[in-house]
Amino acid sequence: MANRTKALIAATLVCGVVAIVVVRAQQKRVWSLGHLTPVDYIEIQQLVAHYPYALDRGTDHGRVYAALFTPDGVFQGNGKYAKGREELAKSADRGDDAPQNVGHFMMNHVIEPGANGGAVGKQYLLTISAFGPEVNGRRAVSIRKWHYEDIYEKTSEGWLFKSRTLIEKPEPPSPPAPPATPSR
Amino acid sequence: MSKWRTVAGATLLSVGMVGAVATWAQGSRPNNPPALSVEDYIEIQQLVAHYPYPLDTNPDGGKSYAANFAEDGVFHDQHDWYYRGHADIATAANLDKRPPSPNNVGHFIFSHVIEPTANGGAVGHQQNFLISEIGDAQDGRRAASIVSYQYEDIYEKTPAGWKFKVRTHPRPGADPPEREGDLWRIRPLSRP
Repeated sequence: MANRTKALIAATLVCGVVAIVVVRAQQKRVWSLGHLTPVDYIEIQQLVAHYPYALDRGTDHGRVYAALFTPDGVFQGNGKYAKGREELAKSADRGDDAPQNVGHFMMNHVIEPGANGGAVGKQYLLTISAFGPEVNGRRAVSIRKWHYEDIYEKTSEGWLFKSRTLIEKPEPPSPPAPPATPSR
Repeated sequence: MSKWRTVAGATLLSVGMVGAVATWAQGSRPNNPPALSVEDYIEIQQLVAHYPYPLDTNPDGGKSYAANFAEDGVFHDQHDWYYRGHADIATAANLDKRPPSPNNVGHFIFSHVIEPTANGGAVGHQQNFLISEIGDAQDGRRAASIVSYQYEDIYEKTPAGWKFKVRTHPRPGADPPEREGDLWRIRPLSRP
């Protein structure tokens, strides 16, 4: 009887282990983000989502913007270079806060694992400004197209920009302008 | 002998339990699409986020672009052309044979909806602005033309991750593609 019980327990244990292995194998996901966890991914998405609000509003004389970067973080592009939070805050200082201002529209955020447990990413940017005469209360707009290339770092304050580089789409020779890229 | 009968019984019981647990883990309840995991949503988000980069920069004659699709994936463009498989889809991305342009940006894609389907896959849609400059520069600025489109997708989980099984890009104002269950009715590949 003792042997029978032992055998039963042993068989059940073996099958239990098999069950766990089978289920875990079925649940195993293809995961292209390497060492980044879903929580890392969401935190980086949120870091980048906060970026235009901090920049366009200039809250607290740009300090909110600067806090999105590591203490030695760098922004460069559009003829500007700022390193460290003091310079970064200055670059985003609008004098008074502008809580309703919107100007940076961002899409297509790619996130990839980077070196040393970090992450890199890129994102499209549109900046829109009015130009030409006003007609019936409306003005035409000029749209500039850019993309960002980022390095993110996980810090004790969460994920922050280690660097953010802004690159403008090359201006087409003018005139004549080449045809637009066919949409796909 | 009795011992082995007991072992066999326990094994059969356990195998049954394994099946039940595996089925439960897959969430395959009738009438309810199995839920996508957080990882699935993220993978599909990233598939779509990557999409415009090889399309706009054309680094390798459309090959990187085509790699976003399943091997037998289909791209349906706004001219009602269908491209099936990596070779045809690479051709579609490189029809104008433009040189690589690493800083080019053109497809601004947003409002990405992802929904699970009954077969364990997923469908989704997004909106897209295709933006290009028009007219002469004025005070250093040029007016812009914006054409808005939608994408309608079927995603498939492959050994290489989530891919586009079908991506359709209907003309603005056109009727959405017909669907049969989880699949759109794909007409034979035809090009003018």
